Amino acid sequence: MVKKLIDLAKKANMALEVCSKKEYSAQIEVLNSNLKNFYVASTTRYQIKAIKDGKCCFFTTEDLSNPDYIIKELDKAFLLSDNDNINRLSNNSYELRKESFIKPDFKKVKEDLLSLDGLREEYPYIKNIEASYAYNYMDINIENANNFMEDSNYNNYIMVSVSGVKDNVVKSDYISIYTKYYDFETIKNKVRELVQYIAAKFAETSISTNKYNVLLKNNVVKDILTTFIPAFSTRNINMKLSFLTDKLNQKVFSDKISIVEEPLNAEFVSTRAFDDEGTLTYNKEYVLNGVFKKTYNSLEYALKNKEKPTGNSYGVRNFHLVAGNKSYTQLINTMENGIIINRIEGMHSGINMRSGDISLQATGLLVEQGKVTKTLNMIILQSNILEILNNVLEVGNDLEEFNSTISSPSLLLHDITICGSL
Amino acid sequence: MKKEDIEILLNKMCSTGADFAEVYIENSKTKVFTYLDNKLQKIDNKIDKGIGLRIAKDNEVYYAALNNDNPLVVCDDLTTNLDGKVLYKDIKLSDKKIYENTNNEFLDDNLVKEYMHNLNHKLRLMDKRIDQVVLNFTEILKDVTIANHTSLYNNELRGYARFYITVNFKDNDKVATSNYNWGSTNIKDIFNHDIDTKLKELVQYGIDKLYAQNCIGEKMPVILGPGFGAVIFHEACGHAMEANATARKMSVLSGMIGKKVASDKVTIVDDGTIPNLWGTTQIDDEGYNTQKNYLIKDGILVNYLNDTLNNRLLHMELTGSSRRESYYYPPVSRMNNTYLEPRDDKIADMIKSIDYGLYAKEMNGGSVNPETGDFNFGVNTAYMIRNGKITECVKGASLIGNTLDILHKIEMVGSDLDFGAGMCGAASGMVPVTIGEPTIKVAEILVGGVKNG
Repeated sequence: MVKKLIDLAKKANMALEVCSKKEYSAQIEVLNSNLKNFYVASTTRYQIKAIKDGKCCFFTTEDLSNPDYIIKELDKAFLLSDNDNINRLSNNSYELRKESFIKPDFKKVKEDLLSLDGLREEYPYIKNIEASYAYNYMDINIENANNFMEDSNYNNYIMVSVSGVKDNVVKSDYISIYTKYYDFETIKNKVRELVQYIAAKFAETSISTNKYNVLLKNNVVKDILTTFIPAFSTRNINMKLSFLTDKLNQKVFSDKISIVEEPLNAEFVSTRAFDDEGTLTYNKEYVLNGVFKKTYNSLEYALKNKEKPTGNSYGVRNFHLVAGNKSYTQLINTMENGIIINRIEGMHSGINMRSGDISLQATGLLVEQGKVTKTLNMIILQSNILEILNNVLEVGNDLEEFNSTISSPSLLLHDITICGSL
Repeated sequence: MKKEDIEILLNKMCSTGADFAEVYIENSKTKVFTYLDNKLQKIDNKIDKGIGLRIAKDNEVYYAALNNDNPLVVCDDLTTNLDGKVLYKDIKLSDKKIYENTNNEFLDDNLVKEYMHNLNHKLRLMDKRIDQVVLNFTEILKDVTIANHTSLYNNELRGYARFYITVNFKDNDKVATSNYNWGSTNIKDIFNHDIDTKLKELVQYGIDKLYAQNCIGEKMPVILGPGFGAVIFHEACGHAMEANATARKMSVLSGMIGKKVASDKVTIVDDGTIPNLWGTTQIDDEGYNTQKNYLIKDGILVNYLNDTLNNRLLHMELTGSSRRESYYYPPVSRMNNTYLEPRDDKIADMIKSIDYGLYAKEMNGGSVNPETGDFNFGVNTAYMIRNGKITECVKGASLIGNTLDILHKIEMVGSDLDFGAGMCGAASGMVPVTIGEPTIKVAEILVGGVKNG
């Protein structure tokens, strides 16, 4: 069907390329000692890129049975749009790197997840344990009249949410893990730590609004980075939609901050050999010792800006802040007095990508004389991305390569405003 | 898919003891226009076409989403999980009930382009500090057919249109962004929207935000403007009233029907039937009619938003609230058009009653943990109130609180009910929702900002 579409496009004077993504996924969700949901999906999606008279248009579809309709709509889009996109189709070659597809033993996974309910005997304050495991496998093909490329990728995703109740007060938190390899012992250990942390949350308090030394835990820095990723794209910088507009080759962050992307590093879960336009991916340094060195692009913006294509038509893969050398415990000791922020919420509404302003609901821990003395809730992290990545005292060594796209070590910062209700 | 083929599928789905079987067939077309840098940059087309199969036995749910496989084969992946007495066989569907809708075609592309071009031109003339105008227009035609083991066989063609304006402002090194959007389930109606007043407000807010001061971070009284200000109710109690959370006691409002959960001034309604509103459908995603549901009446919790399978635990009336983004998701109970009923408090009295507080004019989205009730939402445009008067514009901030505390602190409710369109993300994906309220005064809530003094 793809070939038929390409041939039909040729007759309409279009050069056409199809990126096909065939996905198989499965998910098991349990609540306490019961199976809640079992889910399977088998889908194929086609991203069509068409070029005609120096313009480029896109069409995404799950249905190739009516190629005439697709060509007709593309033709209408060509006629109407004003864009001057000097795009091109893929001409790269790539030898297949087929990931071995190991279908998980769902029966065992189900039993594992249900067994987490056994933690109740040890920790009677547990109210609910909701655990889900998802498996995702994808085949990616790029095909045009002169080229064919294929790649594959898979990962496992585990999420466990635990709530506890004491004196009618409910507290909860969760863990999430992206991984290539399902390892229940690691999951169970993390869940146990989570359950113990819930007990500490029963004594949660707030603080008074002030500037503090703040230790942002690795998952928190990852969440902030994830929201700001589009700020590094050539498109958003061109369109003045990023806080990094006009700042290329300038020192924007502390010299302790370097940010890289490693799409080919097999230690991470999210490797890709080429992007959705067939551009080969490669490792890149976006920020080196605080200097903003590079943007990422799609072919359209690479050609517009006369840049080398970076292979990022889908965004980024294995994008992370470079780790330092202090352990998380050493960071706490170095901070001596301050606040650990271990969870932030509301990233879609509390972050402004253009100004860099950040205002986010948070939870955390109060540290006094190097020891955790209180758990904190009802607090707000009030800052700016430039302030966070400039007020850096230390960078941790706890980079965990579990996130599908972004990861980070913890950061110890000075003079960050935390709002509280006391 | 033909009726006979759906019947074969349903019978196979019930062949190993399922006590519920449902087939959801979707065929959607989407068009997205992007206008930027004084040009119609692109028109993106999208087609979603697939099938969702759902079976259940007691409280266990099995779901398959597919668009590239024989459903009868995928059906095996589901039915092998069950091994019991066959409860339903020889299922025959009723005649297909088609929910008529004249809303069945996209707008003329040239008309959309002309509207965007004129709007861009009008906006750029409004102030020289306007640095960028981004316009997005999305139109969707979504054909859904739902059939289940009770012989239900319904079809609805749904139309959606949404216009989104983002304007960037710049004055030397100061930058600010202001935006406005509206949506309708009547595509033909989308440009019959009087936006001149809204454009003036949008530009004024953008200019004010260029010179905004830091807000003070502390608990203070807050006035929330009409329309999207209702995000406070969407987060503080809306999600906590969905059966997906309440049925399994995973909501702070579980087991609280009949109890006082909010101040007397709070009456919350969810109504999926209001013509043209962005969250309106004739049938929900299980095929049942949408309806007007009172959820909180004068501060008393009176109902939850229910769906068929979660209702097995709740034993309440169905509310026509089952929703999903697409065939890719099993449906769960979700909000449609949720609003706070108006009262008669005057906005001037609200402002006068505050010595030191915040007037939040424009809001962003938010999020909530329904089990603990801790929630947040973002304020995009806000002004300080000092000694009963609106004063300087302050930077956007998050506001945070807890359901059981904040709902009791709704102190005053105005009469200027308005609505805002948004996308809500939860277990069954992103769905269009409307939220609405008149201007309200919250006695006290924690506002993000810097230290006072």
